[in-house]
Amino acid sequence: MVKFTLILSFLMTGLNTMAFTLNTNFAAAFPGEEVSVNLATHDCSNLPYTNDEILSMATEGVNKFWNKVSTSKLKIRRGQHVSVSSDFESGALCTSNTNGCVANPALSGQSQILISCNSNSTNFSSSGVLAVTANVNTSGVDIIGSVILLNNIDYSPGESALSNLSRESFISVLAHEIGHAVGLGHSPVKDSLMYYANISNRVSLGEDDMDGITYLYPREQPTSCGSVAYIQDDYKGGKPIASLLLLIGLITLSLKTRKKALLS
Amino acid sequence: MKKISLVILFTLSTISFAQTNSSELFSINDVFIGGGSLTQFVGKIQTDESGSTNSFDFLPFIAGGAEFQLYDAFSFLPQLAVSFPKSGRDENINKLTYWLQFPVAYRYETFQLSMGPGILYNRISASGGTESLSNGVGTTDFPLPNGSSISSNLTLNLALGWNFYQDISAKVESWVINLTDSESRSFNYAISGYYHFGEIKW
Repeated sequence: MVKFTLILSFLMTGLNTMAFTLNTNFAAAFPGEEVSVNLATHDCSNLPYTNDEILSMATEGVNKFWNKVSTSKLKIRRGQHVSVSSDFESGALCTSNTNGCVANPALSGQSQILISCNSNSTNFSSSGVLAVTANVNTSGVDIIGSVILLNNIDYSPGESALSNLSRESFISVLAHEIGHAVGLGHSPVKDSLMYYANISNRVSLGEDDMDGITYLYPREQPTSCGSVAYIQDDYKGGKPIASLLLLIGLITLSLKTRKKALLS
Repeated sequence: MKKISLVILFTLSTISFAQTNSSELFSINDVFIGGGSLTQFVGKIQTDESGSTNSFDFLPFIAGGAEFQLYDAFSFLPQLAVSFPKSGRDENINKLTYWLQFPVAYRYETFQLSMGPGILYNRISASGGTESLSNGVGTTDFPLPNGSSISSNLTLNLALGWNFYQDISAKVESWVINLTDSESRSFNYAISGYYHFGEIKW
């Protein structure tokens, strides 16, 4: 028994997983199971892609990454081209960044996820900042709308910071920003999509990403037991014990059936 | 975890077992307990910068179940398994996986092929705080989750067991997760070993 306990202790302390983070301290998430990604209609003049190509690549990104998570109920779908005010093209995303982003009121009326090209240098302090995202419209713990601004500043004639990326990397950048839009923060691990920097061989989500999206949008098959609960209210270990009791019940039922058969 | 182990031990200690073959419907042919290692979502998780994906993870679990006689060589084989909890890199994220399976098994000599539905639970929890991470031009304090979240998935399980030595068997099993959703369908597999107590006598 002592040996067993030692082995158990080793296994419980020796295994590691990655740590994901969130965008908000109240675990904000979209309330439904489906979210649309829309694109502002104004011209992304310094990007090497048409608006329709950008929206297609965003769709490709969510299908390649976020929609593949078995344990998450969230499905992100292609939306449409939407006409928005010029603030999305030239305005600042946040009016203050001291304690998190305080969304610019001009951008905060959005619902779902909106991608827009933007040329305001307040949003992009250097050419290394490819895009910025904020959950601009929240209600309680629900995200109503998020805005993704792509860096469309002209750093060299006709080129933006995003121009030099390969198509695959551009897709990864869009998927990373959509990760922020649905409520995830950065990951400290390079193999995660939510790592702050792009890597060239991005083929799927990292463990961190999958944990994060599962935490915010747990799949609920077949019962409704997949909600986020605050830890002080959580009945830890309830389900394994309930399952064990079910198994014991089955055994007991079988014993009783057999006993009756023997007596009769 | 201790509670679960104690309940299992208590349950098994209150009844005695012997190795005989019974053919009565729903009689208990066997009660077994064991452990193994689970690999989740094979090929779906990127594991390094070069683009490799996961093929084997060491996630140990303990499992137990009973075999109920159905007809001839067929039996009902309900099982419960619980993984060892994983603690986060910074001890903030904790994960626990547990599952129930309800397969029907067919025995042929020392082999047992089983197939049936199951349900898989993955619990993720953390106790809040922040983590300072790079944002490309500086650092940002990102909030860590404060609470727990449990996802549940229906699975279709296929397993092959081999009773290779007296009361001991080995099992290889694979599960299809989200069978009907081609977008998020994935596979788990587990390798495990069991000790069989045999038929229940009272």
